[in-house]
Amino acid sequence: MRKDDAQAIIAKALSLARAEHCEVTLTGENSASTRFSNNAITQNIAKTNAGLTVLSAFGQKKGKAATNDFSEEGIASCVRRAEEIARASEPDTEYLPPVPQPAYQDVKAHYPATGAFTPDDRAKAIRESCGLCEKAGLALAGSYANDTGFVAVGNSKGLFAYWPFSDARYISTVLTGDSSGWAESVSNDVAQVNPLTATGIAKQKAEAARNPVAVEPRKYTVILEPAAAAEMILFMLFSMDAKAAHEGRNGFAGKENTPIASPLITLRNQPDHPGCPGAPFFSGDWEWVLPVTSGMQVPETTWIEKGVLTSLMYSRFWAEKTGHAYTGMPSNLIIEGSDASIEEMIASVEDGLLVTRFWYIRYVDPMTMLFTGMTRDGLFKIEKGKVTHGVKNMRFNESPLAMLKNTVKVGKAVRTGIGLPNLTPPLLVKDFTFTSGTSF
Amino acid sequence: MEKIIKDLAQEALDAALSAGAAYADVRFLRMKRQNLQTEDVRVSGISDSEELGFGVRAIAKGAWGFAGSGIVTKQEVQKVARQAVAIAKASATAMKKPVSLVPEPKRVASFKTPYKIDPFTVGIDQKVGLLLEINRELLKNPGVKKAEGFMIFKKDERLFASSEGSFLESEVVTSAVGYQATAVGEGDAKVRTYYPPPMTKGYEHINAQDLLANAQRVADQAVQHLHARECEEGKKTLILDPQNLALTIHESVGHATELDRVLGYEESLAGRSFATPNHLNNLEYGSHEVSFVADNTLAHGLATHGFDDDGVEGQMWFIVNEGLFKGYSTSREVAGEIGWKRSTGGCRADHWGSIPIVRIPNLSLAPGKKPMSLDDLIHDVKDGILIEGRGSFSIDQMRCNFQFGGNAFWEVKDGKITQMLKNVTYQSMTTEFWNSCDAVADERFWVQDGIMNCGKGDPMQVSQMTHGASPARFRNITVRRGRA
Repeated sequence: MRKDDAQAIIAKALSLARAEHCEVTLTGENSASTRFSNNAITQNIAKTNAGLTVLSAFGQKKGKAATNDFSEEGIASCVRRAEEIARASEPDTEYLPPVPQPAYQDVKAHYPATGAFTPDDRAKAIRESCGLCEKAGLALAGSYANDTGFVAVGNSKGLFAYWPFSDARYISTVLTGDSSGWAESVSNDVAQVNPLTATGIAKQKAEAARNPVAVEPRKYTVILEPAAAAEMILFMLFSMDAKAAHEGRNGFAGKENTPIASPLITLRNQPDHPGCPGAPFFSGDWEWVLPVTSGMQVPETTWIEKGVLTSLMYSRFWAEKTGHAYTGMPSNLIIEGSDASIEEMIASVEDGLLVTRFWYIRYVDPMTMLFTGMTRDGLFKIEKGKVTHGVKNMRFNESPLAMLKNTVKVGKAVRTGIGLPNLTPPLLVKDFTFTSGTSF
Repeated sequence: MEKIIKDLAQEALDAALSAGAAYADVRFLRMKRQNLQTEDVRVSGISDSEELGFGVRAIAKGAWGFAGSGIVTKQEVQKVARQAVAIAKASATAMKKPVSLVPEPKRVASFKTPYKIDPFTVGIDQKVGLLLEINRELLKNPGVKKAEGFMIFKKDERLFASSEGSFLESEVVTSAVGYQATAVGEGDAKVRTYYPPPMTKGYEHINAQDLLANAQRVADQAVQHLHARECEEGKKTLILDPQNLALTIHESVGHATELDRVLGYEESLAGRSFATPNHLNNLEYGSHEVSFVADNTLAHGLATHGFDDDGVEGQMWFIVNEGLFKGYSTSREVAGEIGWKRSTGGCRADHWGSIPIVRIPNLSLAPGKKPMSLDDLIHDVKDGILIEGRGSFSIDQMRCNFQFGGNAFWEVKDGKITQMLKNVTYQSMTTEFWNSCDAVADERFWVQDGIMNCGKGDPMQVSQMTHGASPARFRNITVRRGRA
């Protein structure tokens, strides 16, 4: 949907609003993806949708309603429903009214080529990658997705904002009879996605991991490749709510402005980062950690600076209550890296493991931030500075805080497709705890 | 659904067949959702949504294509149907063999969840009032620092039409409620939950729960949990309650026996499975005490929808019978891959814009055949732990190595519950674990719990299904302390 059309729908909804306050969010998507396994396409889809969400408030009594019916009656019905809910509800004592128009960072994340990419384009790339694996007697599985979308917000204080974006991601898993390897290629611009290179890396990993050997579960020095590091750190991000910490309900309680990680670790967000853009403002359907106010800008925040926890995530309410700067949630994550290559990092390890990625990470204990999860698609032994052989997968029980504290080297940060848009380096970590093995 | 929607369904099929589809189906879905959340004495979230859209699946040149849209007009329906066929033709350029669907009789039928009170007609004030009253009750305990509650309501009206002549309508209503208390101490916090099993029922399901009556107990046990003793690590006997078992069944049996996963279709995201077809009818998945029954006809089951999104009617069958591995959840496509003549009817989509994929059915541990109570299970334990509710959960991508937690842990010594424990996890390998089961309580103790947020697929789809169980006992399981 073009900006003018989005603005007209939002204006229509606001014109029908009778509540004291009203915020409107309009989102739209054109998404497409092709999935493949055993060297053949198995799923191929496209979807067009848009959704309108109206938040109405009378004092602190709020109600939210959503629809994908953009007829006059559909919009009116949605506004009426939000108001009915608000009137019938009880107060949300943390609700704060809409904000006037702020200034936003200029974030370029929309590439027309991504939207123009066709099922035939995807199929062509997939045929090439399948051919590469088939020739070697290997099986390829993965997906190739290209999406375009927009988010637009407006409110009863006259705010309006519109942000278009696009995303493309290719992921590949290559299987031998007894091993697998994984790699991905991610960008907002499909022209920057390179399926064949990713497949080549996955293939090399799968072949190098053949005949995996079981090793004793214990503490190891590990090199976490960017996908593995991102999975741990992004999962940790869900716990950075300042309110929960101040109420003693998460693992960051009492840790603000104290060293929690190695001085090598700096985590920040920057919506207009050219290689990894994030949304410049919040919208009403985006409340996965904190309550947000539609249209408020996503500020740049340094969360961990040289190992010191410099900020938790402050909702607007909690920032006002505590006098802390408002942070909201990050819309991207930049983890500072170095120029060190992964080969240099491997060369520095006497006895350790190289982890391609993790799978099924979950909390075991939120208070000590103990996580569990499995290695997947490429676990290797490192001996005397060299990758020597594949290792059967293992379960870890480890805290991301211990992981960040025990980080002794960071490598070159790359874009990963894990969760939020992120740039993540590989990490060299001492004493990473594995607790059991599995059968493959 | 309205006649205009039925006419549009026919338009979609005609357009797909005209564009070259050998098979097509169309699914219109009107989805209503209502979510309420409370935190202490405030309403932290309250939302209501309704959307209508459709998805067209087509097989052309032997391959699948799918397209969906939320714009419900004749022109859009025709355009999207042609788009699905064009996508199928692109798929055919990277195909190993043509898609073949096992037969299913064409039928014209309808299904409706039996319910008494449409939850969308019950006032917001009544729902919010109840949740806030529960929170106030929880907060009466001075050790409870946080009280949270929720209600979730869904209503899906679906119309499925296929080029084979099936024309199926359904209305499925789901209701869920729950709350939790958090006790906070020095450097620690513990949550105790009360999550009655979600069901396909109306608001009468909420009215039937002893929500307020359990609040004081839940608050007291949150505080008790905070001050409980750390568990000792080692091999122990576990007694798992039905709500803990629901998740263990889900992860180690349900996902492991989705046939698309077994055949590699899920490799790039959720992984595969150890339970390959060569193990059918010979793998001892569990002990003789263990039978897993799949039943998509189960009354008020979360996956009881009348028929699936392949147009296959709900069925009941064994996944494991007296320990022996017997079956899978399938779609019409994958059933034929292993020579089966009919799909078990597990092909479902979570949205009009999602392509149907193989999902876990209503899958339950059958109750024990011998008279056996929870007390009887405990009586025969020298050193063990009774685990209630759900906690941490993780399993490898072949569904072998898993680690689970729980919500409340009770030490069992010499046949008696002695005290509460904290920070308990158990870790095992799937078939070792189910083979270590030596007793399952009888049908008097069977609870029909379920999962509301099962994630699978790429793009991710979220589905729901029931997992019933009676308490069961497992010997010699590795217990670890779940604290860094």
